[in-house]
Amino acid sequence: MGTEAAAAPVIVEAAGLVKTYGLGGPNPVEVLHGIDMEAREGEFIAIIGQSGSGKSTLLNILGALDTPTDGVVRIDGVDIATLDSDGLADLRGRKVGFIFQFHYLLEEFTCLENALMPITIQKGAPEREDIEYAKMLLKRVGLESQMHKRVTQMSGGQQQRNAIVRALVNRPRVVLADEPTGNLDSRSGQEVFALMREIARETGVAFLMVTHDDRLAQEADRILRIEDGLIQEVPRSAAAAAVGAARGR
Amino acid sequence: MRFEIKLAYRHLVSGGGQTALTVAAVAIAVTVIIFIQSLITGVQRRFINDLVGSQPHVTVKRPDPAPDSLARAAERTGGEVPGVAPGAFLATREEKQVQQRTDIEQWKQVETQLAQFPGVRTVTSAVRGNAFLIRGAKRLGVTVSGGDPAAQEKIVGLQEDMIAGSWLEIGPDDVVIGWRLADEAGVRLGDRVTLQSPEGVSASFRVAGLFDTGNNTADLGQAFLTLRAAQSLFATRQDVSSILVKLDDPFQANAVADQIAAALPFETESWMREQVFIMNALRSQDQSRLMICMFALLASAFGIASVLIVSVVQKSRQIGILKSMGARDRQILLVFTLEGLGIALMGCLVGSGLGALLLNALAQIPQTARFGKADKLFNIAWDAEIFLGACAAAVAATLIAAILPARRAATMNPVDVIRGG
Ligand SMILES: Nc1ncnc2c1ncn2[C@@H]1O[C@H](COP(=O)(O)OP(=O)(O)OP(=O)(O)O)[C@@H](O)[C@H]1O
Ligand SMILES: [Mg+2]
Repeated sequence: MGTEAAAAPVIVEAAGLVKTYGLGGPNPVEVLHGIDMEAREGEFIAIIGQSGSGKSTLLNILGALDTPTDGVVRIDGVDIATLDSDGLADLRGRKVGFIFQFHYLLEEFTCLENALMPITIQKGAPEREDIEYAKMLLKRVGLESQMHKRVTQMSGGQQQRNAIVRALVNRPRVVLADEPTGNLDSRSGQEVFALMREIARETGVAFLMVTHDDRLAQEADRILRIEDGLIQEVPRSAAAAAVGAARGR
Repeated sequence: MRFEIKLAYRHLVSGGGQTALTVAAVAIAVTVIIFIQSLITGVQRRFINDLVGSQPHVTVKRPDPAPDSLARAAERTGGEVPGVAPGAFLATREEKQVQQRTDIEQWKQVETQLAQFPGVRTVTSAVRGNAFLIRGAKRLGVTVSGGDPAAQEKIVGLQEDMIAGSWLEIGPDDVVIGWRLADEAGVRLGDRVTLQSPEGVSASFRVAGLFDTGNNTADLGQAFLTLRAAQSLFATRQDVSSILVKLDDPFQANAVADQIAAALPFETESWMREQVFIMNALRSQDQSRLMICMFALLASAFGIASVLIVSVVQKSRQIGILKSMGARDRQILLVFTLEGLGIALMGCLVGSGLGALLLNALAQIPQTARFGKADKLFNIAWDAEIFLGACAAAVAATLIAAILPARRAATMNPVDVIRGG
């Protein structure tokens, strides 16, 4: 499997990525000290690390939502440093899907309308095939009967599944999920994770997921850990051992 | 654009009470502006009509001779005359010269020339002068205006003010005077009065008609004759003393008077210069209504700005997520600007409706009739321009109020607002 993934094209790539917050202020904080990494088509990568280690920071930069202080980030071959704010917005709209810990669905719209929001932003109104695709994805995540419901009428797990469909509806190259199950109970967390894992495989996107849940991380193709502003690959066996040790206690 | 409209619309709909409140703020401003403007414009129009309705806006005359030539004329006659102060002597000389030289020959031709000036509605020639109206022992000073009744009617608009007798059909033996003058002189319709001019001509006339313009000066001091009668009273032969001009817009009087004076060898008088106090009063009234309108707009703009700022803060997460989905800054700016526009348009609709209702109610109030002429207490100006102007002002104010919140939304950093749930 590892060799298979290595052959696939690189979708997201970071080289020497540095992020400093409060630059120019009295006490700037360098959160990321030089990250080198890549994510390939069809790969499902878990990103772990302690709270405050810079996982969200990294994810936001990899999705062109934030810009690095130094270093290069390429998304589908495009160096994001070459894009202006509109260029970045368009890149996010076409190549990237975000899923956050909170669903951030728009309360003013229905489930289906929310799922189609990235298309609506881009085209003004979704076309028939967009709607078909969104409906297919909603069916896929078990929201067939909820499509015309308001956001507030759905359960937490349903809302997060709605958010997953929204992240996928524009057929992105990469999906960045920041603790997508963090706000769910363990059972619906498991369900949501399983769905993401399957859909990622089916659609061939590069999927990066930040998680605090080692058991979920175990099911990823690769695990990356951020520590002291640097990133390192965690061998799955070692992670398994760590999880095993934790369970043993 | 469809996305922005859709989102702005949903925001307004889901805003519910908040939206209604801002719409009400705009509506009140629009209502106040429409109300104030229509009322004051109407009042001013009636006032101006009462004031200058029976006057020419511009009067064209032969120029007075220069004072220094008069002085020279005085010198030539040998300076002081015993028993008569030099000033008094000059005055009589001046009067005589003016009287001699203010007549306009070729007046038909001048009329045609004057009619060409922009904004001129009607032109008519008249013999005007001061005279005494004599009845028994009473001698009352009057301003006599003689001209073709039909042509004069276009200038003075007496017909609607006639309360007795006739006006348009008068003959050379007839005079038409105001009811106050008749009252003062103790004459009735059909009685005979004598008019005596400074030229020393006296003639007897029959009171053929009485008018009530509502303007005391006119009702007490004006008398109308036919052209022929006035020509013989003031001894002008076939000439006229002035040409009277009525304009489409009375407030253009100064401009038109100056244009005529510059282009033709005549002197002009504008009613506005004769009535400086009234012009000042009108101007200060204009200023105060402008102030009221500005404050109404300002208050509603502040209300809208604060509500929109709150709504932007409330929606900051949503703005962040929209940006993460590819929304450009300009799109976000447009969403909130459109919200402002939507509020403004709804406010204009409601405000115009309320304004119309209010004006309608006000216009119904009757005034006690004066000589059977039923009149409304308020003369409301129903001008589309007032409604459109109020709406345009409200839309502009609302859009300006929306700029700050919309820009704040557009420049929001998505990373900052998404962080922390
Ligand atoms: N806008 C900011 N200004 C200053 N410091 C910031 C800013 N955003 C994040 N940080 C700091 O950068 C560090 C990394 O933050 P980040 O949110 O990336 O951590 P994380 O790994 O996602 O943590 P968690 O697991 O709690 O979500 C933290 O120490 C945080 O305080
Ligand atoms: Mg985080």
